[in-house]
Amino acid sequence: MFIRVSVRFGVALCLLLTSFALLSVAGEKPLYVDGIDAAFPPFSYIDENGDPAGFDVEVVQWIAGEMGFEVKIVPIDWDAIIPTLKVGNIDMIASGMTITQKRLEQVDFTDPYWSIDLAVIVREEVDEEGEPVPQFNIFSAVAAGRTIGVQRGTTSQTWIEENLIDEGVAVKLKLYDSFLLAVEDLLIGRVDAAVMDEPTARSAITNRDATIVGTISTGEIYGYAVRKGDEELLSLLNDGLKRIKASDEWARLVEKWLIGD
Amino acid sequence: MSFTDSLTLIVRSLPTLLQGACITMALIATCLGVGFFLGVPLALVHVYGASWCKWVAAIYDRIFRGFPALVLLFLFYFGLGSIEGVSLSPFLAVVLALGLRSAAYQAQIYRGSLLAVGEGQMAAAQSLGMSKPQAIWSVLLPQALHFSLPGLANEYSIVLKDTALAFAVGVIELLSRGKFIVARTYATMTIYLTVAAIYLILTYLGVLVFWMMERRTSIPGLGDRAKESRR
Repeated sequence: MFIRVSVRFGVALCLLLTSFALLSVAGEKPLYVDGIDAAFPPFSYIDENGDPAGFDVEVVQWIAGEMGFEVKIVPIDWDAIIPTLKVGNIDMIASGMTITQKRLEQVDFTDPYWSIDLAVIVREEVDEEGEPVPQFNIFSAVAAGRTIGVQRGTTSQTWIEENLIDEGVAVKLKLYDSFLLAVEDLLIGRVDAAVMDEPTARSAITNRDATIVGTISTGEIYGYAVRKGDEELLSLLNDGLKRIKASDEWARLVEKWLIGD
Repeated sequence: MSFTDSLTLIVRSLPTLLQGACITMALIATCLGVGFFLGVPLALVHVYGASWCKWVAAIYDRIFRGFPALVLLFLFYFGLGSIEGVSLSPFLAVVLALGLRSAAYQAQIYRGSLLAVGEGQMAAAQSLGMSKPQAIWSVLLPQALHFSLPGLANEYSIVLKDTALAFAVGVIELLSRGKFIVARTYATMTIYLTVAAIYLILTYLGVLVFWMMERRTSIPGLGDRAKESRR
């Protein structure tokens, strides 16, 4: 009985390890692995069929086709995405990632490809006439005493820390694994406002009792991240970005993902 | 979201959730397997080993039962992964971290079950001329295995939930698939309740397997209380 169980476990273990070894056999074109935050529409998310979708996903796929390499898109937990890049299990990050000084110390970024601001979302309440009305305005949403929800490890968090908390404005910051959870808590009432990248905010408020009451002009720029010193991939991506921006494809993708509702 | 909308969403999400469940099952099978192959020798060392062996086993035990599972995952994936020339796939990192951890917990289960087999068994075996290793292998371990099954069923259901941590290092299992669907549809309650239901089914199915094994390996003459307790 003992032997039978052991043998079965042993066989299962061997089969699994072999299959993973086989999966890592290289193809013809160079293969780069792109890590994304799979919960960040409209830049990167997973669609109904379980495939990666979003603005950054399509841009990277186009660049791969144009520049002659294969790309494999893998969802990675946002908290671990830069360490995963450094360790080498992914080769780039293309996922609505803002270029910041702190991140530049860890990774290299491509040329900027998009610029966004941050948006502040609050709950909508219903007034006497039955019209939806925001609970706070842009000033009262971030005033002293408020609790603000943000996704951990994002520029929203840094902005609030540097411009409100460090400047003496007594707001409480609540950190979440994803901006979506912050919006959920906003609707429940655990936080008074949620701050996130504006395109993401627009997708988060559709069909929900929440609204954008204002934007914080940070003029942040998005770039794709590669390991420090990975010149080859960096120049491939930069060239690809130049080409796609010069083509009609750029306008089509921007129209499809980033403009309007 | 209306009720019918929720139902439609659940049905449309099931294929991808079940794919995640397959990865979860693969994870738990390999983690428990690693835990088993390492846990039994560890338990034998705990109970019968020479003092210096017991010492080494004790250190292993402190480390792998002392660190939180997530910390172990990160240590294996990022720590080992950052050593030159070592390339650790996320799946392998999870199997190592959770498997070695399960080995420490399983060793305690087998230690308890080995001790539950009466001293009389060892004495009787040795009086028949068996050496200590022979006695352990042929007489004590088989009985201990039977006693360890309730504890093992427990370990199974715990490690099953621990596999949900695997997304932290990039393994796309059941819970992370649920997260992706929620990110796209914002249907938090619907999807997470479905995910919870799948975990429930997986847990119960596994525990059923252990119950069946308990019956198949039951020791004649040991009384029927066990049957009543298996609900």
